[in-house]
Amino acid sequence: MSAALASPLDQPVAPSARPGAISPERATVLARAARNPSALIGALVVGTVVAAALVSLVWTPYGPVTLSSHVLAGPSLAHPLGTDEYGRDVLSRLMAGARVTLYSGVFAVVVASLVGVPAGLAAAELTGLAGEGIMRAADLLFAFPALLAAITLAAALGSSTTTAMLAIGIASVPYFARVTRSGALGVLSSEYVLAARAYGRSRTAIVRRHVLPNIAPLLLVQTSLLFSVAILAGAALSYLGLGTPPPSSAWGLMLEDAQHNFLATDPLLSLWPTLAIAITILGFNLLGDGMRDVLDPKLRARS
Amino acid sequence: MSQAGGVPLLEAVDVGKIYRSRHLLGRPVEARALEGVSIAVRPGDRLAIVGESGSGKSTLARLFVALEQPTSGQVRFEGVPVNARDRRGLVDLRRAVQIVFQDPAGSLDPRMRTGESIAEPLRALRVTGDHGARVNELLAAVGLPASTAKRYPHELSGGQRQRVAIARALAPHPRLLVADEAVSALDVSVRAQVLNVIDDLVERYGLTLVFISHDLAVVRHVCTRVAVLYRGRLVEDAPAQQLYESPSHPYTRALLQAVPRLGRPFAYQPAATAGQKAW
Amino acid sequence: MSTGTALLEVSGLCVDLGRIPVVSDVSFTVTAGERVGLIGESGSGKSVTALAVIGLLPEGMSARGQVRLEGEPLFGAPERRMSELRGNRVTMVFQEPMSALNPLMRVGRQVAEVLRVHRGMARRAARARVVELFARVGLEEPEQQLRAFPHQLSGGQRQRVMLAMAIACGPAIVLADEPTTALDVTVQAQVLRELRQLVDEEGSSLLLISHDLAVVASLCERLLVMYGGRVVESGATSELLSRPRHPYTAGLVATSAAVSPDHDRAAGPLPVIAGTVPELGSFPSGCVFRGRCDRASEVCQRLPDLAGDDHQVACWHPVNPAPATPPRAAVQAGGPASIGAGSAS
Repeated sequence: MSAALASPLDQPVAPSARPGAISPERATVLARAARNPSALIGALVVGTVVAAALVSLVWTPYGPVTLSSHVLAGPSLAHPLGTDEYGRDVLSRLMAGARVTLYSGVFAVVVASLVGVPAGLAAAELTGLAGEGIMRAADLLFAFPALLAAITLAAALGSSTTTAMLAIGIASVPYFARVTRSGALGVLSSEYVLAARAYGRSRTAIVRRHVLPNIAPLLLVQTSLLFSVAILAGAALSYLGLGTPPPSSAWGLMLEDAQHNFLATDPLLSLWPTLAIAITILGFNLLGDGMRDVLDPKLRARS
Repeated sequence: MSQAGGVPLLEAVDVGKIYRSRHLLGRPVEARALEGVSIAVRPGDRLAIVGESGSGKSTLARLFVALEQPTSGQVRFEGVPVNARDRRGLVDLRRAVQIVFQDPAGSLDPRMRTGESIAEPLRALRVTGDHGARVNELLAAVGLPASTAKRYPHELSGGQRQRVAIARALAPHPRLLVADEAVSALDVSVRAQVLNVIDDLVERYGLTLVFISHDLAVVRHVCTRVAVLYRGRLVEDAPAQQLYESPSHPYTRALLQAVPRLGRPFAYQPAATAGQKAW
Repeated sequence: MSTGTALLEVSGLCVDLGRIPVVSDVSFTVTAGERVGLIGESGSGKSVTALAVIGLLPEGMSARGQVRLEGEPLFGAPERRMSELRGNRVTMVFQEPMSALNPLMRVGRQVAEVLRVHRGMARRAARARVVELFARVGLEEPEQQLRAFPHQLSGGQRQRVMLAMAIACGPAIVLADEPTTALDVTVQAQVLRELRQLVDEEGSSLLLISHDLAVVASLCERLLVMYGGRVVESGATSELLSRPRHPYTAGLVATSAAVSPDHDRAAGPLPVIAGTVPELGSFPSGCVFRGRCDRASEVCQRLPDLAGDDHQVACWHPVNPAPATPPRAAVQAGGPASIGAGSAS
């Protein structure tokens, strides 16, 4: 009677060779990442910034606040990017500034995700008025101008990178909430979640075992994109003097200083922080886009 | 093989289900999926529930596995009404009644290896014992090599995925298997393989089977009794032989007539020259 | 009604996805008014073949070989010419009407568009014709259905709209790719009947693609069996069903006959074709079926040619060997006695 089952599989099950398939296996994901130019360039840029920040913890060519007598010097062998009006080495300042930059990104993302992801999950689980209510609250936050909030907070709590990023983080909650909610809704309406309910999985267990792993790629992409938003906002705020006060090496502060006082005489001084900000933001954006393509091609907008 | 007397394992008693959707500002819309349906499933039965879209068959399947509650009537498990609030009762039901869904791609979590997916009911229902060994046992039972456990769903074909889904359903040693259009999404030749697997497992483990389908051809091999649903109502419930040879309800007759059969061309003659062709 | 003139000639069609062959060396002919069935499982390349004929291959796939429609070569034809032909001389019906119809356009307008583009009809005339077409495909209250959006219709109704679109311009050939697979059984029966009627009335040819042998056999005069991107058997339907020669075809026939309401349970387990279809890119060399075939031998490591007269098979060990005819004779195309015999590859 089992004759028909005698040869169920003549061939070993082949590893992923289906066109368009996504393999969660790390090896294949890395292979795909290696072929995606956005992801590669993005990773390169982000990697450089991270490396600079980490290195600056233990070493910079000169101290970022070390004064010297070489004031407003142009690029040279000793100071590859020149010095500012206090004789501080620009390259060292940029490296130290990378720390501030990354810190602002991390803080904003942590705040945004700690509030946004649970909110999105709750909105997906609770149907009806409660779920809608959460999303409308998120919409309210969306409408609130982030920079204005930062200024208010700075006025109330004093300027520092932390207060600035708190404002940015709160203002970014809706991004995470929306992405989480739509991703979670998709997973919750899938048949494998239905199957899980049929064998008795509790709601929390379903969120833990099915929803979160399946929306993780979405969140990862969102994180990278949010980083670039936060960095830009952080630079803007420190430019306005609402971040950590001088002698901080925040890039926005460096830019404000250089642009305000020395634009005509030493334009390069303004160029370096500008490039740093722009390239870092670009890097995070490219990384986010690239990751989106690599982790789930279906997320890509249909051409 | 089915006992004449005794308490039915699973029973729908005058069950009705209405879906209501409310738009925030609009009028609520009602859809009546089932009305006054009574079906008893006895231990050892191999029951087919047949109907087309809108018949309510999938709704009935969900009611049987307590994924939804009826709006009227009762679903009874071993004589006791199934109550959503009774946690103990629900766990008992879930251990005893398992379901296989239609879409082999959608019913497995794409981010979990199949071995993990198969073991999930064991974790969820807190079944003790060596889960790994059980997974291997189940894979062998459905005719898949043990190496399948490490694969992800997208690496398998539709038929293989469906077998994984069946293995998962059998993990907690259920007594009743509900197959909701379990082979409808598969190619015709793969269907036969999976039907054989189901047939063999039902035989081997003494399972009770409820097979839901829109296709009378598919259920012929595995089922001994057929219930036909039309627009939420039960129109015929008869032993398979009797239903296939002399169906009583006109809808059943229409269903039987509509199934394409080999060697039977559609009865159609063009108006003008019929030609020498048999077709 | 087949008149014997070749309408669609496909020769040496090969489609590749990058470097992976999806369709290899497929050749067949459809004569005017003929109904041909193309049967194969997922991964056999049957849908891709149709897409290649109508020039709608997805990105990443490239085709070579030659396809001729009414004598005109389609490969290498400019896109402009292909646009003129699509919807007009060669039309396609897809499996999932919900994705083939524009969800934001009323169905009447979608069908009318075909008429206006290809026949240059004015709006009123097109509308009248659409009402006519809707009535012909069996849509009740055609005047009202004109104004419906796709999501307001049932699956069967949507598919009928697709049929209307497909025959609107009286095409030379209709390609139907699993047109009823997503439909209920009773609706499927009706739609197939309507398809048959329409194709006969218009005098169009039909290439019906499906994995369901019973569906294809009930509608088509001739069958092509595809496996692993190749045609493994072709011939008249009645021939193939009663005397299948390729082991795969024989398996399909046995399985389809068994999964039927007339089946007897006592006959034992359903006959199956052991194993599974090999994945794209991992086809074995030589005969693609040899991994699953219990008649396979060493010689099967060489690719068998598609050979035979009216009934062709590509196999070193066919199940029912052909009577008397010499096995590898070259075949003349389109002779009076043979119904659209393809050329031996």
